[in-house]
Amino acid sequence: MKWIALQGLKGGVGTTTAVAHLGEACHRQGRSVLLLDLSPGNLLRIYLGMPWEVRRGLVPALTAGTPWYQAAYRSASGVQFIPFGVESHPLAEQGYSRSVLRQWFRQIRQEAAELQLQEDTLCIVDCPALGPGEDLLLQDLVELHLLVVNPDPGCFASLRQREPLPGAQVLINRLHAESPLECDLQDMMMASPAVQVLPVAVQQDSHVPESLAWKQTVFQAAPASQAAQDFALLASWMLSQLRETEHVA
Amino acid sequence: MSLEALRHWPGPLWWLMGQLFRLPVPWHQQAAMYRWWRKWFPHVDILHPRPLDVIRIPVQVLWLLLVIPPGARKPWPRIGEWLRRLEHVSIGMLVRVFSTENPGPVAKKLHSVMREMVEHPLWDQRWFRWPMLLLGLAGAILVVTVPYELETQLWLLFALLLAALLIRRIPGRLPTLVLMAISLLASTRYLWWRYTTTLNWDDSLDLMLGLILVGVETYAWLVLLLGYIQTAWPLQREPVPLPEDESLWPSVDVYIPTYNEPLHVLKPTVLAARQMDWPADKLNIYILDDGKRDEIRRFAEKVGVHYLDRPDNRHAKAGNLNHALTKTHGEFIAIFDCDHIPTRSFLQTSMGWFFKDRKLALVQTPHHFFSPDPFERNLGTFGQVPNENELFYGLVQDGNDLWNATFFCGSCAVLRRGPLEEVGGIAVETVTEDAHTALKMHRLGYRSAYLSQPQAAGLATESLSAHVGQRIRWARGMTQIFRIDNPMLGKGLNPVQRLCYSNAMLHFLYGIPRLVFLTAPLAFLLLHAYFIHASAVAIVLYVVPHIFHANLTNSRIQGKYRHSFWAEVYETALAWYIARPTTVALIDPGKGSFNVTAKGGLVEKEHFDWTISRPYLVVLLLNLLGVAFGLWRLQAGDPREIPTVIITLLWTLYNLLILGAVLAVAAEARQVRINHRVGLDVPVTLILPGLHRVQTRTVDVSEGGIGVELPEKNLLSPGQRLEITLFHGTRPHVFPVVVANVFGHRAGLRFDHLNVEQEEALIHCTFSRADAWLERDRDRKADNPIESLGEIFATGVRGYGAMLRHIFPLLAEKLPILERMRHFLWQLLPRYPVNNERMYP
Repeated sequence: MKWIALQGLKGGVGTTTAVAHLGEACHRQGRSVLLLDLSPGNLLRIYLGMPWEVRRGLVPALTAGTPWYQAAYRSASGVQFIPFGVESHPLAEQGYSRSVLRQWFRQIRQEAAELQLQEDTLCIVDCPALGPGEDLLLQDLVELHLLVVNPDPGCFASLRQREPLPGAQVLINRLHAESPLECDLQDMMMASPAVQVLPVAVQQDSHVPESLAWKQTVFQAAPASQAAQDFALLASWMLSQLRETEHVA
Repeated sequence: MSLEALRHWPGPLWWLMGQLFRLPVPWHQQAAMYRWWRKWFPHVDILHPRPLDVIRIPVQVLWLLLVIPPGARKPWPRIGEWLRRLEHVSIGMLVRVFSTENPGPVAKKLHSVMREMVEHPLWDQRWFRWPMLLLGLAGAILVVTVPYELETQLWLLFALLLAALLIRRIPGRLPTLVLMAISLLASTRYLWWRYTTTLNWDDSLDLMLGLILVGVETYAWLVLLLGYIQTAWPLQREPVPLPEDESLWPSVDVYIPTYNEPLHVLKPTVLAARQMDWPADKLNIYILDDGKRDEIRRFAEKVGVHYLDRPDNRHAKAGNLNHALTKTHGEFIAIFDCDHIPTRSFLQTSMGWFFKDRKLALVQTPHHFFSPDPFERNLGTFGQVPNENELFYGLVQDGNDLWNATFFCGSCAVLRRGPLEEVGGIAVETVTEDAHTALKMHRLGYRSAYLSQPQAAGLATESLSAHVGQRIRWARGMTQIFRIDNPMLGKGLNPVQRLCYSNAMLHFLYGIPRLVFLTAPLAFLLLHAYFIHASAVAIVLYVVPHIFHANLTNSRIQGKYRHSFWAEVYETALAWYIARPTTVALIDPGKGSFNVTAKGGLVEKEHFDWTISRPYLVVLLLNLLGVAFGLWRLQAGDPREIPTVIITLLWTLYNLLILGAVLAVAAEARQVRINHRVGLDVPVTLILPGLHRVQTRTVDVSEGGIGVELPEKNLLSPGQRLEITLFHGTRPHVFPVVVANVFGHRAGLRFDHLNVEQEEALIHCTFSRADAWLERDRDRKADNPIESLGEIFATGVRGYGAMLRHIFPLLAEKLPILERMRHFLWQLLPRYPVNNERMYP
């Protein structure tokens, strides 16, 4: 299995969107995909069409002492995913700290080998946004750790203050191509030697929230949209990147 | 038979019943019947019958039953379709014989044997090499000069033919050289035979005509020989990387000479030149405006490039460049015609060689055209058959490069200032200043290089007359150089350089020879002159190897750049026009005048260029007369002459074919846009209201607009305003557009008031991309002589069709009865069924 984590530089940059869409895109390219929601917001499931009232997920399963993988679902299009769930865990009082999430992830990664999943399954993890002064949540635990940012001055400044972020590859989301400022910021991020920026940026596209309103990704609701093409391209890049690291290894 | 018509038989039956028995037929049945009728008898209104319907209806019934294949859309299959059908039966076999796609085991074995022979160490020994060479030469002389019985000549023919067909299948350059040798043997033997046995010294008319023909054939043989030398081994030079240290890069002046070309032609070139990848402080762009226009001056100021004009206009473009040479100081000079848009990589690709070779004075790159030239437009061959230019830029210049004989072509080139100043700037003595300048630099021992990657692209000449005018200028100029600065004479050149330059010049003397070949058979058919004093069988046995091997070999050398037989079309079309200027220039190089070629014009209406085609119409009439005479001679002449008549008739028919293709060139097709559309397939994002982005791909682009594919049919509507995003690398650029038209899954978008930055960005994203022109001949298939002949045939037939179509209205004006007769017959002809469901009375 290959593990990829996505984490927002701050809240609301579109991390969950990226996880859902990359998962869908990889699935469409014939890869077996498992999405894991480690974000207490529990929003990933909405993109995958899960009914509101179902409360099950990772945390309820762990609380009840049942195996976590029994909380896995399959979306209508065939993407496997594990929602975070809504039940509160005894540990929730401390606010699902970094160490708790990391510990869960370690456990999951260990036990995942026992699952009857395909050899080359891609597991994409949705992490809660980066807190002040924190390192990447799953640093050293995953093959690829993407940091999601928007090309706005806020993100740019925040990124500059935190540089260098070891192991992070920056994914630019919601680029307004018609804004010279955002294009310049994208160029500056790409030119910076301290961080590695992905060669593909995802453009701002109203099709994304509209698809979410249908509890779908753009691949179902608006396949011709820019966002669908961008995410598909990004998925291809990601897969080739993983293959390369395999070669190196 | 068309069964579909019978499927709805109850309809007409009902109708018939209704008519016969006055039955009340429901109205919807009536409507259905009427529709049925209108579909199958579109030209007969059954509600208002006319007397001649008595003819129309049975004719239509026969037509429907016997002719129209079910499901067909066009009443007559196209000529091309017929050809394809024929091909499947018989030509297909021929095509396979001439194909080189699968070498086969024998050819592969021969390939390795040949390699071994050539790489044998014995060749390095002088005592072996020279005697072998002499032996070969002696053998060749023997083959050429020994007179044979006809039977022996026949065996020789077969031997050479089989050898060539076999060797042709072996890949590599060595077999090409062998083919050249075979072809030269066959042609030289033919010429030897012509000189020694076929001239009739007893009859003065025969002798005169015979001498003319043999002279012309000698010219053709010479050009064939020189052409083989020139293209024996194209160098295919690769670019050399520049030094890492940018401070070593020299300063470059870019000259863009212009005279009267409008700003919209000049603008993309200037903007693209500004964007070439080169240190900004070492790149200076100069617009050299001989038109002295304020508009251009203001534009230059606005975009930040230099503007130069001069007090006089002496020596046209050459003088313009020379004037600029005194005003600027760059170490290198890049020259672009005002409509050749360079890619951003132009300098980085071409400058490397100057570092490697300090004696290098010139790097030339191809002139690539993104609009069809008049030949391509009128023949409909754009992108399928290589155009006239391609042989020169794809092969000839590259072949010249091996011999250090590539010459300057006036644009898309870089020159070193030192050598250029040493020869006194651009040459002004002739009207092809470019080639002459290169010749002068070669004489001083400087070198030239050719890079065959297109690094700039431009507009081809628009109308046929302008195209012809340009070729006249080249032909005249090259002949002038041949006269006043003959490359065979003077010092400084090596022997092969002399030959290459001579061929470039001799090539343009093809005018009179082409005309002679077009009319030669008439001398026999009309005048009964035996200008080749030999039996028909002997002629066939000697001429077949000559023509066959020359064509086969050239097809192999030139296949990618010129298809078989097309040279005949291109050259014949120009022959009449360049015959006179070249002859005049050959006699007195100073005479004649010279016109600037107009560009950016528009052929507004489809028409037939009677002026340009007049000489060919005369030749055509003569040839038709010749055919008539020939047929008469077959019928009434001496029976012993019949073989000769047949050969001459075949020759005439071939000439008629070429003439047909030439006439097709004269049928000017209409052009609809000033801004030429260039095929372009890159991602584009449509930004729809509410920031909905839709990604799709572009189809084509021009300065004024862009064609895109639509993922959904009704995504856009005409008149709608939106923005689109194109990418330059990862950098998106946004352009405002208006939807001009929508056809199904295609939409045409017009750019909406771009400012200068946007125009620049647009050129960045499209024309000046480094890879913009690299895949120019991706879809084109290789040459196959038989298929090529088929293409020429189809084109010839089309040419005659076009001429008749255009001639008819002219005649009808004079003879109204003709038009009435045509109309009368036309309305009786059967029609094709109409597939329109909404056909109500």
